[in-house]
Amino acid sequence: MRSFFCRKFILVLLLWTTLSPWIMGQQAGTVPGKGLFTMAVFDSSFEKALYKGSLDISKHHLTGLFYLKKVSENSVRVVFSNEMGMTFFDLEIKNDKLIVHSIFPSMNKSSLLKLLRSDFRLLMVPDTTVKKSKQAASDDSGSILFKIKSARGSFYYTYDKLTDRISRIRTSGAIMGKTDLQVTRDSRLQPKKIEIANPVIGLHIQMTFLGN
Amino acid sequence: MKYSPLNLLLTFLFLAGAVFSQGKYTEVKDPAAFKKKFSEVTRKTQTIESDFIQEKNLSVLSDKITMKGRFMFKKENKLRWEYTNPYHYLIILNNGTMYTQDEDKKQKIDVGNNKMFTEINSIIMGCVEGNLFNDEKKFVTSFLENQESYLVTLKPRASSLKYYLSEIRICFDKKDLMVTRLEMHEPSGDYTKIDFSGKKINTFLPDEKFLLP
Repeated sequence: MRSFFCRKFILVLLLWTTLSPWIMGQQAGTVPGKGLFTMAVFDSSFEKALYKGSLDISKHHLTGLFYLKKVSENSVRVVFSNEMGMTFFDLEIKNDKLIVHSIFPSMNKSSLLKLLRSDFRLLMVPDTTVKKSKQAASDDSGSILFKIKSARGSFYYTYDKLTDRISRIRTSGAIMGKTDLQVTRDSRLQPKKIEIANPVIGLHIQMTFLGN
Repeated sequence: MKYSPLNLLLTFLFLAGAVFSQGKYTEVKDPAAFKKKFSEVTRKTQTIESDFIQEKNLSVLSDKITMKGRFMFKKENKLRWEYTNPYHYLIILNNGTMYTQDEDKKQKIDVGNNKMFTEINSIIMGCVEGNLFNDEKKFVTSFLENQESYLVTLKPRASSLKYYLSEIRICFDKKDLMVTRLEMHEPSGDYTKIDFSGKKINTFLPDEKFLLP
């Protein structure tokens, strides 16, 4: 009898770990013929959004507006300009590649661009290169934690149990590109506040939702 | 009156003609006279207060970002940009120092260390203090006019400025020579248009308006 319950428990545990991506609603799953994927912070219904925000890099504190837009199925655009309208940068991620439409000369550094690409990809571009997805132990009973390995790197994705949405993404293992992305959502599950910290390089981005 | 298709077409053509003829700019024959008149007006201007609507046009994305607020100027060297919509943000320029306030976050910026802000603010300050056309080394300036306004176009000469701005267009009302529109064009094709309205000239503006609260 005891071994029966024990076997049943192991079976449930196995099923949970294998099926967990499907259990997480639309946030992760399998694309037939393509394999595992994880959604970005913005889900597939995302079209465009305007955020007020700031970007801190080393000693510089820049404030202004972030305009995010899905241009096509495989392309997203991020424009950051100051309050008076001058563009700090206008970047596009197309087919996972970064296209720099314009950038302030002082910001035109490959290490910074690499980070911006990886940060905004986590925000706006689903990861279809997931190789492994495994549930990890979470300290918070209100959330589920997944360790995900993909061509982009290794990450910890935290999903809120109530909303099934991503509340945090942290890189695991990477030293130079360590990222901690946290998001809080409004009642429509729209990302209301986004905070991205890259402590090693000293890049810190904060965004507060203004409108669509 | 009968609204036949022909009537409507003629009315439309008449209105369109009127609008386009107003908008058509021709070269100012005597720019020196314009500069002199402009300098006289700005000499008498002690303060300016006005509302503004700022639109950033993203050419490639065919979208606009609109902000609204209130603008104030006081002689010498004092500017206040108060954005009230979609959120509150304050920029104050007082004798070469810039202060910003974003909600509770206050910041003091040395304008001299920020090339782009220095340029934009020296242009705006030049519009209201009258020394806009003094620095011919910096810009290639052209003067145009139509029935209602003067249009001054400034094209930067220095490559460092050309990187941020390809052209600045300033529209002056012919009645009082006050700025009604400022356009800052970026090399990417994006541009920011600021329309000023409801201006009040030489009203009392306390110095405290040009300090952070």
